[in-house]
Order: sequence, then C-alpha cells, then structure tokens
Amino acid sequence: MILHTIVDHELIWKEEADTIELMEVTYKGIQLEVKRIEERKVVVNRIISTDPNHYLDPELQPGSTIIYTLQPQSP
Amino acid sequence: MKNERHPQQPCHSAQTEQPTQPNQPNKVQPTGGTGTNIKDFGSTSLPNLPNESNIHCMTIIGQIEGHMVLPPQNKTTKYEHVLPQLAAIEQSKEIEGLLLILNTVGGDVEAGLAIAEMISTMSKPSVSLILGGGHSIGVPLSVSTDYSFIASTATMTIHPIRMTGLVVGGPQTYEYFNKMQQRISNFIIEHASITRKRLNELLYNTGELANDVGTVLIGQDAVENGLIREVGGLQQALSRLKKLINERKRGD
Repeated sequence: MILHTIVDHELIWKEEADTIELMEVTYKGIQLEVKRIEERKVVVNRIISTDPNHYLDPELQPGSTIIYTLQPQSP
Repeated sequence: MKNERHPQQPCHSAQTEQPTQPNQPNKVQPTGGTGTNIKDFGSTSLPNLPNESNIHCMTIIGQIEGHMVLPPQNKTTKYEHVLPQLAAIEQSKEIEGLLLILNTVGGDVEAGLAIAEMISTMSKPSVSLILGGGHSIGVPLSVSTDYSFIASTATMTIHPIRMTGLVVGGPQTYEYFNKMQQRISNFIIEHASITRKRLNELLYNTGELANDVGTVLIGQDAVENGLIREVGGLQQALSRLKKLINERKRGD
C-alpha cells in the first residue's frame, strides 16, 4: 500500500493512548458514525451520506443522542 | 421541540439531558439541545427542508483510507463508503448530479484512483470544488469530474509518491515507483488540460518544499497550470452543475 499524502507517515501511524471508539450504525436507513455512551444510547459523530437533506435533519445533527434497539419493533 | 433554535437562549448554556424513556425504543431522545451540540460538537440545529434534492454531495475529507485502516486520530474518507454511494448515485432515478467537495491531504493511491475512476466514468454530471486543500492523491480526484472549481484560497500540493521503510532491490523499486507515479500522472493528464511536460516540472520542482520535491499551487495557480477549470465557490459550482444537468436533459 502506498500513501500519497503531504502528512508525515509518523503522524499517520502514531498510536494515540486514549482514542474514542467510534462505530457505524444505520438509523432510518441512514449510515451514521456514532460514539456509544451507554448500552443502547449513542451520540451522532458524523453522517455518512451523500443526500444533502440528511444533513439538515435535526435528529441527526452531530451531538444528538439516539436510543436504538436491536429488537424488531412490534406493530 | 428541544432541537429547535432558541434565539433567546445563550448558545453556551449546556442543558442537562432529559431523562430517558426506555419504553420508546428506536426514537430519538431529546438531546441536550442546541447548547450542548455547540459545546461538544460545534454544530447547531438546522431547519428541516422537506424538498428532495436532485443533487447529491460527496465530501472527501482528511485522509483517503484504503486497504489499511488508519489509526483513529486520522480523519478519514473510506472507500467502502464512497464506492457503493457512487454506484447508488449512478443508478438512482432521482439523483441528477454530483457535487464533489474536497478538503483532503491525500492518502491511499489505490483508493484515491478507484474513487477517481468511478467518478470519471459516471454518466451523470459531476462538479468538484476544492476548499482548503486537495493535495497529493486529491489531485486526480479533483480532475475526475466533468468540471472543476478551486476556492481562491485553496491549495494543491503536486509531488511524487515517496517510499518508506526498507528498500530491497534498488532498480526494481525504482521501476515500481515509476509505474505507480505514471498511473497517477496519466489519469491527471487524461482528465485535465495540463501537459505531461508541465506536470513533471511541477512534480520535480526543488525550489518550493523544504523536505520534498514538488509545487504548491494556490487557487488561481492551479487554473493557470491547466489542472482546474475555474476559481470559484459553492454558488459557481452548483450553478455549473445545474447547467450541466439541464444540458444532459436536453440531450436525452
């Protein structure tokens, strides 16, 4: 693998001691990069989408908290 | 609504979080509100526009991440996100154009070229806008679209790929790197109006970078060297994209 970048390789590969673990979830069909704060509670860190409207959704603004469940919702 | 803007409320007043309601799964809880969002993430809540957008926007930020996952202190754009998104945009009936926003320091050659090839072979109109920086492997990405813009303050660093680590077999390594550089240069020449001679001059210039060969192009310089089509901003990029979309509609 060749990195073609202006950033020094030492800076790229340097391991930081305490980095926040980010994970990806799909919420309402929109891929989000989130930070888990509790068992089923995550904070939005980044929206991974090309649809400009997703970035205007107040629910998905970076910093918003989302409660999610893995169980299917009952009708 | 907690998420609405409260103009009378000072932005820095972080509110305490609402108690959670466990019997409401899959629902977004009222967050700390605008105050907390600004404090923790530097963002504000925006009004929700109901209309569908026929233009999708792809942002290439930080490092372009390829086959190797980079340590988490790097901000990255991952090819596993971008490549399927591009395929989806190409297939979508609603999406008519792509705006590519670049602010990247470069990154993986394979990933950068893969994304650039995807964009250049799209049938839908695309326009790129370089803001801040479009360095190294960001250069083929910037020229992969139908039309390109650079902000007057944005920079592009043109420099050859370099090697790190142990080198075994000098001539072979030289040949290999030469080939890798060629495929990047070929893509740039094919998709921009710069000549090979001029690109090589920029690549191997010794007078500008302290610890490397290469050239830094700022705004207008990139246009004068034939890499980017025009100096402009968001408005120019979007109106050009709309123009290209209309031209394509008339052509169909």
